[in-house]
Amino acid sequence: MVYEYVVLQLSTFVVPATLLAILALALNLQWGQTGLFNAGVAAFAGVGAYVFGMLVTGSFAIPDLYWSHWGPSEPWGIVAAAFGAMVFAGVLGAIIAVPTLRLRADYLAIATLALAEIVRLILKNERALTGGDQTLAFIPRPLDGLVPRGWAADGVFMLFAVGLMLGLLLLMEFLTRSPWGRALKAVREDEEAATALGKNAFILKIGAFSMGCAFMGMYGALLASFQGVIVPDQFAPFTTFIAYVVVILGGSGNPRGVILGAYVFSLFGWTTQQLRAYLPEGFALRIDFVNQIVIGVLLVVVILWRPDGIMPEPRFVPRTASAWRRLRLRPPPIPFQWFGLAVAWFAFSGVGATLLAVGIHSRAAFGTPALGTQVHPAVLGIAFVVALVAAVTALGFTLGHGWVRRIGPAVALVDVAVMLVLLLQPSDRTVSDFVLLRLFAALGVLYVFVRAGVLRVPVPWARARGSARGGGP
Amino acid sequence: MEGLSNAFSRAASAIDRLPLWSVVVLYLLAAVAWMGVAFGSIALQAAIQGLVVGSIYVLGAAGLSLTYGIRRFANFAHGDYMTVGAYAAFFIVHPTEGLGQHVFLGVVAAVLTVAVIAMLLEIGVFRRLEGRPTAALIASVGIALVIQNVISAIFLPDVRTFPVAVPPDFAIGDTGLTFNAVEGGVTLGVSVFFIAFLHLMLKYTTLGKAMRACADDLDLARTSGINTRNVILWTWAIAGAFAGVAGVLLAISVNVFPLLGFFVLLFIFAAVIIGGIGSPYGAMLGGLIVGFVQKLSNVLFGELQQAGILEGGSAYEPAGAFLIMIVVLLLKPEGIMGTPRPGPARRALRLPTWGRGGARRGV
Repeated sequence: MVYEYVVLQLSTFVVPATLLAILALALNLQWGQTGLFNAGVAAFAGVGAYVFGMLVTGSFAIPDLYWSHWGPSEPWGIVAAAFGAMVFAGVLGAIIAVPTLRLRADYLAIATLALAEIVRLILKNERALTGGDQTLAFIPRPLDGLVPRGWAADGVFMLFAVGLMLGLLLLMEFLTRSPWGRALKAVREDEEAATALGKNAFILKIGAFSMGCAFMGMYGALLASFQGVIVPDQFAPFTTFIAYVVVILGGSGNPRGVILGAYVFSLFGWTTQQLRAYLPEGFALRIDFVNQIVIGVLLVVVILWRPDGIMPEPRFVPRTASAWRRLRLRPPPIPFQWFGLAVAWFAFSGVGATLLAVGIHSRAAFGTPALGTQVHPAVLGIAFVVALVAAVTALGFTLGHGWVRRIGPAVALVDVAVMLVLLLQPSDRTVSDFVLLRLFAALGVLYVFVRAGVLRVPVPWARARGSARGGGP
Repeated sequence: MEGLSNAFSRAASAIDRLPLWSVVVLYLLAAVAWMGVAFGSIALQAAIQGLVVGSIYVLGAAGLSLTYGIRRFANFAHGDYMTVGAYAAFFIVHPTEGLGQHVFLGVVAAVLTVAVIAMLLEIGVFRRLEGRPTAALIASVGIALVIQNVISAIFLPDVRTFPVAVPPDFAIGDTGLTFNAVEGGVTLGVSVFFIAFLHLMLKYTTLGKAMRACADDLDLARTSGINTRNVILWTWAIAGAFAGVAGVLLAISVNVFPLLGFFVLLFIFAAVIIGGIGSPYGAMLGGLIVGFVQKLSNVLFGELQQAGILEGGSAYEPAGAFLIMIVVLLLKPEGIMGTPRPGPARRALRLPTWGRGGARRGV
C-alpha cells in the first residue's frame, strides 16, 4: 500500500527530528532563556532513558547470557515510568545545580561535561544496575498491544511525539511571557541588576535548570521508547553538541525558532542518509564525516555572522496578563497557569494517539491485534471526541477566546466522567495507562477552570473577586 | 591544654606560611607513599605511569592555559590540535602510508602544522569574537568537530600504531617495577625540555614579558604600547606548538586515532583548572596532579571492584581526575596557583578556614 510506505518513510524523518526538537526546547530553557551553559545534556537524556527503561521493563535477568538489569519487581505503566524518569532527571539536575550554578559559564560547561562523562561511565559499567554494554531492551511504546508493530506503530508514535512537542512549545511560549520567564531573561542579561531588583537569581536558575533537565529526561524516555533498545554510548557528548547546534542555529531564546532549527538540521542529516545509496563507494564511507564537518562549519558561521540564529528572539513579548484581560478573567497564580498549559499538551498528545488507535482497531485489517482489552471501540470513540473538545477548550482557554468560558467547564466535567468510567472497565495495562494520562489531563482542565473562577465551586481557596491580588485594605 | 592548642595553632600557621603549591606537592607525595604502603608495588607502578602521563598533560595544559589567560575562554578544540599534531607526524614518519622520514622531522612538522593552524584560527575566528567569551567557546566546539571529522574523512577512523620502535620495558632493580625508555624516558625528557623553554621564555624574553602583561590586563598592555595582536598570535603559535608535541608523545604511548585528543581534553581542562586558569606554572603542577590521580585512582577503583562495591573497577579511571577537578571548582575555583578575580567567579561552597582566616583577621 502506498500510504504504508509514506508513513514509514515520513516517520524516519519526523520522529528523530521531533525528538531532537524536544531536546532542543529543553536546552533552550537553560541556555536560551536563562543563559546556563549545560554541557551535560547527554547525561540527563541518558539518565531519563535508563530510569524509564528500568521502570517500564521491571527486573530482568537471563543468567546464561549474563544479561540483566535492575528494576521494580512489578513493571510500571508507561505514563508512570515516564513521569518517574522526568522527576529523577529533574531532581538530579537540581542536585547538580546547587553547587555548580554559582560558577562562571565556562567552568559550568567543564564541570557538567565531566559529570556527564562520569554518568556515562556508570551507565556503561554498572551492569547489575543498567545492563551496561549488554543493552537495555524490550522497552515498550505507548499503545503497544493496541496498535500492531510496523507502519501503524510508527505512525502513532509520530503523532504522539509531534503532540508532545507542540505541547512543550506551547508551554515554552507561555513561559517566555510569564513573570517567571521574564525574570529568567533578566537573570540572563544582568544577574546583578536582577538581584538588585529583588529577584532571587539562584533559585530562579535552579528552577530553570532542573525543569530543563526534567524535559531532557522526557526526551530520553521517548527515545528509549521509540528505539526499544538503548546503549550507554548513545549518550556521548556528541548529543550535547547537536543540541547546541540546533538551539543556536534556530535562534536561542525563541522556542519556535528552536523547533525550526531542529527540523532544518534533521532534514540535512536525513537527506545525506538517503543519498548514501547513490554515492560512489569511497564517498559513501565518508558521508557521515562530511555531514559533521558541515555541522561544525555551520556552527562557527552562525556564531560569527548571525549569532541570533535563523529566527531571532523577539525584542518584546506581550505579558500574559493582557490575554487574561481580554477574557475578562482574573488570572490565576502562575503555577496554575503552567498547569493549564501542561494539561492542554497532554490532551493534545492523547488526541492524536486515540485517533489512530480507534481507526486501526475498527479497521481490524491486520487480523486481531494483541488486544487484551475489553473496552468497546465505541467507548474509545467517545473518549476521543471528548478529549478533542477538552484539548481545544483548554487551549482556547489559555490563549483567550470568550466562548470557552461557558462551554469549557461542562466539557471538562464530562471528560472527567468519561475517563473515570473507562478506568473502571477491566482492561490491560496499555489502555489503563492511556486512560490514566487522559484522566490527569481532564482533572487538570477542571482544576484550572476552578482556579480561574470560571467554574464556581465553594472551595476554601477561591477568594472573592475584589480581594484577589494586590487589593489590600 | 593551653600549650597543646598553642602548638597546634603554631603548626597551622607554619603550614600557612608555605606557598599553597608546595603543600599540595607534599600531599601528593604523601598520597603516593600511603598507596604504596597500602597496595604494594601496583601503586608505585601506577605512580610511575602517572608521572609519564602527567608530563604529557603538562604540555597540553601549559598551552591551553596560555591562551586561556589572554583570550579568556575555554578552547574546546585544544585536544584536537593535539590530534592534528599526531597525524602530521604520522604522515611524515609512516613508511608506507606517509613519507617515511625520521621521527625528529615528524615532530618538527607537527609543531609547525599545529602552530600555523592555531594562528589561522585566531585570525579567522577567535579574533572576531573578542569580548564574547561564550560565543568563542561555542565556536571552538564547532572547530573541534570540524577537525575531528576532517581527519576522519582523510585517514578514516581506524586506530593505527605510530611507526616508532618501542623497546621492551626494563626492570628497575629487583623492586618489581618497570620503566620504558621511549614511552616513559623520552616523554619525560621532552616534556622537561619544553617546560624549561617556556619558563625561560616567559621570564627573560621581551615576548614572554609581553605575554604575561597581556594575560594580566589586555587593555593596559595595549595602552602601554605592546602590539597585543602580534603577542596574541605568538601565544597561539606557542600553545599550538606545545599541543603538537604533546600529540606526538601521546601517539607514541597510545595510538593514533581521530578522537585521540578529544579523549584527553577533559584531563587537560582538569589540569588547567586544578592549577589555576591562566597560570602556566599552575597548569604544569595541575597536569602532574591529574596524571597521578588518574593512575592512582585506577588502583583504588580496582580495589573497590575486588571488594565488590563497584562493578566497573578500573574503567572508572577518568572519574577520579574529574572528581578532583569538580571538588577544586567548588572549593577553590581560582585553582592552586591562580589569583582570584573579582566578578562572578565566586567560590561555590563556603568552608570554615582553619588558621588562615584567623591569622588575617589578626593583622
